[in-house]
Amino acid sequence: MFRSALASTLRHLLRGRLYAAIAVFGLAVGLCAALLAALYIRSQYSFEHFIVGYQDVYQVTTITPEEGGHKGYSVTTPPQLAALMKQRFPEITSVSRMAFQGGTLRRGDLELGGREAEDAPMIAVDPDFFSTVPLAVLAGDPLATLALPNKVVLTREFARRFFGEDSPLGGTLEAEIGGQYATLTVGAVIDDIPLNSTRLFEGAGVFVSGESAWTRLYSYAHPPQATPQSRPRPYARTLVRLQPGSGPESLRMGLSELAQQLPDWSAAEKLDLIRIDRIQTDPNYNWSITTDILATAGLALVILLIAGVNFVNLLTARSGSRALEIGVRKLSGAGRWTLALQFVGEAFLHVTAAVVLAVAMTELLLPYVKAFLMADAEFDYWKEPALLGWLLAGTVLITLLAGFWPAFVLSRMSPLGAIHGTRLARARGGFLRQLLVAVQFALLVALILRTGATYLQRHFGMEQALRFDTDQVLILNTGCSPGRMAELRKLAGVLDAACSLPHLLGGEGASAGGSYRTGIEIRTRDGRKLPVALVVIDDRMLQLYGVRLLAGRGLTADDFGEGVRGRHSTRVLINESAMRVLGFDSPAAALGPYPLMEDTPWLSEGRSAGAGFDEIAGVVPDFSMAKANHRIAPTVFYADPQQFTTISLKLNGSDVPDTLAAIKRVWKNTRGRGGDAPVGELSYVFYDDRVQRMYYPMLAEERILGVMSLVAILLALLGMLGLAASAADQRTREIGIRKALGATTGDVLRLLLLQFSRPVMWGNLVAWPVAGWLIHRWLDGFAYHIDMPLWLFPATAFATLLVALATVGAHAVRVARARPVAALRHE
Amino acid sequence: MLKLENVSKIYRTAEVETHALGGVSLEVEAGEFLAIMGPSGCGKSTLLNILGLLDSPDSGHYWFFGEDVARYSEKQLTQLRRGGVGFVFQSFNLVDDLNVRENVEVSLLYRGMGGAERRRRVAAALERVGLSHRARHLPNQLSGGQQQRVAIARALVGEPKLILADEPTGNLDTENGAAVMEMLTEINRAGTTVIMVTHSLVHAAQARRTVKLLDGRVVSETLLAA
Repeated sequence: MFRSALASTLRHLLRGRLYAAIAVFGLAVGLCAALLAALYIRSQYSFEHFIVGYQDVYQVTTITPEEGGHKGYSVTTPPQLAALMKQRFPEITSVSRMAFQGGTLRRGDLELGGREAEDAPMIAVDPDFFSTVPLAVLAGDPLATLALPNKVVLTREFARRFFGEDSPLGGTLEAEIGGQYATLTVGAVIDDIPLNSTRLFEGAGVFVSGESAWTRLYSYAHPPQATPQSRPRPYARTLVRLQPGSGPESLRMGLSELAQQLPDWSAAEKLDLIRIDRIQTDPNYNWSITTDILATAGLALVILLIAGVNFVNLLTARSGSRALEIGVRKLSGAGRWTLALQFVGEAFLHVTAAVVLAVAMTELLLPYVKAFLMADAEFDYWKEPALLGWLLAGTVLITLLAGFWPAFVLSRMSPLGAIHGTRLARARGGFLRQLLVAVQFALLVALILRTGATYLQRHFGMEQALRFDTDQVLILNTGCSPGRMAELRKLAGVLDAACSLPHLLGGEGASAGGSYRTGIEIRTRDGRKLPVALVVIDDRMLQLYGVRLLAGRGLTADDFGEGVRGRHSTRVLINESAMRVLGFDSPAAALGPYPLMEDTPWLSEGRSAGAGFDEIAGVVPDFSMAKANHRIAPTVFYADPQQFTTISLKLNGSDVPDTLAAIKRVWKNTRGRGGDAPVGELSYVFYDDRVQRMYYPMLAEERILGVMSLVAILLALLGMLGLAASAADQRTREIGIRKALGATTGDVLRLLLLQFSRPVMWGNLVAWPVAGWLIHRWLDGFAYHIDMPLWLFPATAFATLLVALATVGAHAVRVARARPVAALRHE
Repeated sequence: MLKLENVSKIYRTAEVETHALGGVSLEVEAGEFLAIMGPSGCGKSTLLNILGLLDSPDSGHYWFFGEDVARYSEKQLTQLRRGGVGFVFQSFNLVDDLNVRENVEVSLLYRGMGGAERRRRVAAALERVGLSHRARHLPNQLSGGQQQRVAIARALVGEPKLILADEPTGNLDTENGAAVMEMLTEINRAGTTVIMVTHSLVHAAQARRTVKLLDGRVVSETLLAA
């Protein structure tokens, strides 16, 4: 019985190899997408699992109340906390601090750090760090190494990068940190930190002893005598290891009491604990994680659904042709379940082939996906019985899901129906098949529309929403002395140079408000106080970025210049948003004396207070200083030469490398003269690169959506082929009759193409409102967004229809051209 | 042995009622060769389906070798059919994806018979229809006459008490048709009851008795002196 079923199944498959291949390939693509998504999601939940005993390691966090009842979550803590905790809680086996350390590292020609885009590779850690967070040691003794100043532990990656070998014990590196120099000796090498640890180490791989005098950790414990406590609050990350099995509850309770002993601690702030492996998946610390996981799972599900529909479609289209076999077997006394089992078995063969193919595809694609998503997903199913078990379970599940319908329908046919009345059974299957293809196209259309909207919005954000000219603008993160500026302006490749704080897209201090938040308020005309963003600019800044004033005049040398050292301008520019919140109807109306603020005590310390903003000199249009999803904040622009930290240069675009070299030379020659410390290397970035980086997550989303759309198109077209095959089979007789009665090939072709267009059009009609609503909601998340691109809808319909008909066109022509006799003899 | 008593069958659609059989009573002796004739739409196929346990009458009784099966469920009919009835169709109805031997074997698959016994019986049946040398061919590699002989082998391999043939010669030329009739007669002679629907007077004449149907009723019976 089994052999007979297997024989007919295998020969059936062989006879329709093309369709079997299409079905298997389509399903494999869907499964591969689902597998990759599942691996990615799993990797998100496996962060820090490589740390031995990660279940007992917690990071101390700070929860700060923010405006509007929100809370700010941060993994930084006061550096004094570690010692206090160690004293207070007996269940702590070790507690260690780490602090990221800027600066550059150099060995021979290789230098790391410096350029803004580059990660600073150094972390200063307490000597017992590796007992709190034990990592696999390749050479040397990390604990002994970190007990001494100026000794470092390298990861293998950095050992290879600097020394070209895996255990360069005793080798030295030159460090340059804020004008101080140190020679660091390698004492130990540890294994590379996997990618799924970015939450803890963030790409760093050089662990330097916190005993070194130049580190931040050291300076917290030994504040310099001469200067008062530095203004920014000191911070470090605090990691604790608890005794195995003792939960964090008692610690959590005791922490609030402990916090009272901390200097600079406000009662509103709270300390908390989070297990290190849960930081990655906690939306409080990784705000996009929920969306990331949902979007990944959702997309994979859509693809899998399309692939599954396609698979069921092709399988039933083909097994419909086996009605006769069912009839004969039933006549011979085969029971319904025996036959159902045969068809489920057939599905199992297909699904198994698809799973094997999908596993191969996944292995092939995983490295690219890992690089693309910067995630460290593993797919070692031969080492992981659970994963293998899941694959098997998946195979069985999909077999049941995909095999159920054909098995159910086909095995239910009466033997008579199977032999004589098969047309009825097939016609009913035909409707369902059309429905399934329509569903496929609906999903496809929704994907394409969403991709299109993402593309349009990203370009809008990168080009128009900024509303200023970023072409060939280079930003130098450095001080802004008049001498340096004069020399820079003299360079051949430089068209103009201007100074600001921060630059117009906001610096590292930029937060949700769109520029850096100062907590500073201006007084509106009706007496309310409203928060504003402050941007310090010089007289050439707006001109350099091509921003035109709506009214008034820009800041002039009167407001900015050597003559006004020690004093900032009291005349300011405001943007349209500020104009509106102040209560002015037009830019012109806002001009003139206006007491925005009486005095500005927060400005440059040690200078005379009492200088406020008392005149609005001009109004500029709103331009975005952050991503288009942030609303532009009311902003006040003023001049204060003491505060400049950034130089913007407009280049002419030719000979950029030469110009860059010249700029570096000017910077070196003017080092230490502009009030800036002679820090190691010039940090610079092209404005467009910065904008690109800002929009990188959206670009990544767009790329993923694009790839998924392509996969969906491919799958939907496979489904279309299946539909064409079954439809031609079904309608051959009808076509014969029509042609016998005088229909031309053209008439029949029109009939067939109309039939094939129907599911595509239905798919479009169903997808439009849903996709429209989703896109509308998504765009609403942006303060500045494109209008709903209505033209995209008919364009997508047209494109899908065109591609679909092109796919089945050849098939339709062949069927339509058949002679009526051949068609009639078919039944 | 087979006895129909006042059997009726009505096909209903939303708008039309078709009385396919209107109170047919008929007895068929074990070992008989019966021919059923009549114009298209007279109810021949419906009658054959009921006799072959493929369909149940709406009213009346049908004793199949002593059992009244008129109210049997599909499952009970399937069990009774298993090994009890062999079928031969006008359009052969061989499974394209199975070779000759496998097609014949299908009749034995659902009876819990051992593999060796099945092989022995299939070989014997193919021997009987003269197609042993074609055992490994697929149906589309055979002529129409050969395909019908495979179908006959399939019908008789299970050693059924009853063989139903629905216009078995309808798709064949004269020579092949005669050969098939020869085979059916021989099977009947060996003791199997054969009921055959045919349009051919010549072929009907080879049966012992001919029943004529018109509009779902038996209108005449002709007994041939064998």
